[in-house]
Amino acid sequence: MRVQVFNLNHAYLSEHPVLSDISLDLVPGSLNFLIGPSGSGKSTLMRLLFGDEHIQTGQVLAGQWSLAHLHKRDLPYYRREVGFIYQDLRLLHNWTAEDNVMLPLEAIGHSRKQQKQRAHLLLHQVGLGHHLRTPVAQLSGGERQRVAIARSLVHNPKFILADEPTANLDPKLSDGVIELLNQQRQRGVTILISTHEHALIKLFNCNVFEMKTGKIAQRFSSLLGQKSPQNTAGFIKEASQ
Amino acid sequence: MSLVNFGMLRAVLRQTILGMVRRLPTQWVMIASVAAMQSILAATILLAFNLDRLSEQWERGGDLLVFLKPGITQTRYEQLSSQLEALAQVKNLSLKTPKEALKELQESLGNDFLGDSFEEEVLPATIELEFVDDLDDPALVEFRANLLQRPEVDEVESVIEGRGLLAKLYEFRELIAFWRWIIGAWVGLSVMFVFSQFVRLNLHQRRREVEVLNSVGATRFFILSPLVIEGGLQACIGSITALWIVENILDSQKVGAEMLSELLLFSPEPLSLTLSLSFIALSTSLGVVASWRSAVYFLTHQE
Repeated sequence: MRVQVFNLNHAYLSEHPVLSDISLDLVPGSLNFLIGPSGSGKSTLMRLLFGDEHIQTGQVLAGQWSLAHLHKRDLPYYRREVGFIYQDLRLLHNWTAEDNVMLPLEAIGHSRKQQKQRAHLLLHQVGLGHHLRTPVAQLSGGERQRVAIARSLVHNPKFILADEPTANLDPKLSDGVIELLNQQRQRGVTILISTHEHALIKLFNCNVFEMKTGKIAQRFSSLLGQKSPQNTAGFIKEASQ
Repeated sequence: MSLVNFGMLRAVLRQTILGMVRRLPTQWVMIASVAAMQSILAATILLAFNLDRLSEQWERGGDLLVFLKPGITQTRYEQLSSQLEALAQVKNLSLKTPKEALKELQESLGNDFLGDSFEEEVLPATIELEFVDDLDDPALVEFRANLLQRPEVDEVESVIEGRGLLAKLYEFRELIAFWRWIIGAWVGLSVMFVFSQFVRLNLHQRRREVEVLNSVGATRFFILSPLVIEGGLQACIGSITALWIVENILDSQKVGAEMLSELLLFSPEPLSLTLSLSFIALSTSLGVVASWRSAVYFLTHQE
């Protein structure tokens, strides 16, 4: 799914803009990182792209959807094409891993058999085949993270948004999580990951958008850690921190 | 884009059942509260229903019941009947001989109750008079009763104004009918209130679930329907329980009912099937409406 953002502005209080003149073009099958300090507007941008916030000015085109003109009743149908991994994971802790992962398919109206098949496949892929019936409350932080990822992928989304998906994970697990998302590019999925962990960027071919005070301060591409010449200095500085 | 498909309906039903099973204690509390409130309404309806039956039964009697002195011949009965018919516009006149009166009493109370030891002429002969509709108001009936009790009509021992007693019963029935509406409105509003609060509490408990459902592309239909169905089911089960409670109370009062039966020649009955089904349908509708309103309010304000 191609995602284009044009001159997006957003403010919670009219005199305090959170996003200013944001423009992006995320091509299908691309891995994109959104980096920047806390309060730079990353999460707001992610929420706007997911339809959690109403677009005030500017335009977002995501595949066939125009988010600025998206009617409330169409929002669920847009979200069926998008997978969102929340920073707080938003799992139902008294439900089993399997039930959590099946939920998006249940909401679409897939048969129970299809739901189970797909959920089992995804949970095996994320290495939780032995925890299908385990309540999420009994899983470790890393395992919960993987359940959340499996849930975000179970309905074959065309666009994946991940808000700090590696927060609170050790480096090895973090790499694994991003690698899992990166694999989705093979089917043309567009991925946008918001992260503080700049070290991750060096490991993948990706586009990086650095945000500062609600603006895109820098944008550059990384080819397995090889930065494009025009922004090397900034990237090295950030990634080494 | 179709909002509903069969897979979706199955999923909605599954979510409803899972939602209820996951919160069984809350379900019991809710059903018990609704049943307790509805029992009061069901009891009032039951009382009104039986009063209606009682007055209907008594209505079959005449406006005036004329008790005759013993020893009157058949010829005199006939003469008296003609005289009474001529007295005013009589719609129906029925003569009951002492033998017939005894037989009727035995039938209503059971032969065992009276036995066979009574003489055939133990009860007085009676004539029931029913006047044409325009002339059956209590004042006119009383006037005619006085006419019949003049000394010159010496075959008449006494006269009972059937309508007078019936009027008192009507007054009581009207009172119950009035209170039935008041209690009905009160119970209805209480049920709505309880449901609203319950659904809010339920949604508050399930807010994370609703958030997750919103984020995975669940439609409003998918999120709302299980809550609405749940509300309807709780109200339905609550009303059935209320009917069961009231009928059991009625059953447990058998001795009182038998005494009533002997006194009034009337035995109270449980609510008819039609009334019971209407009661259940109305309660279920109330549950559905209250749940739907609260859920919509919650979702709208949450967004």
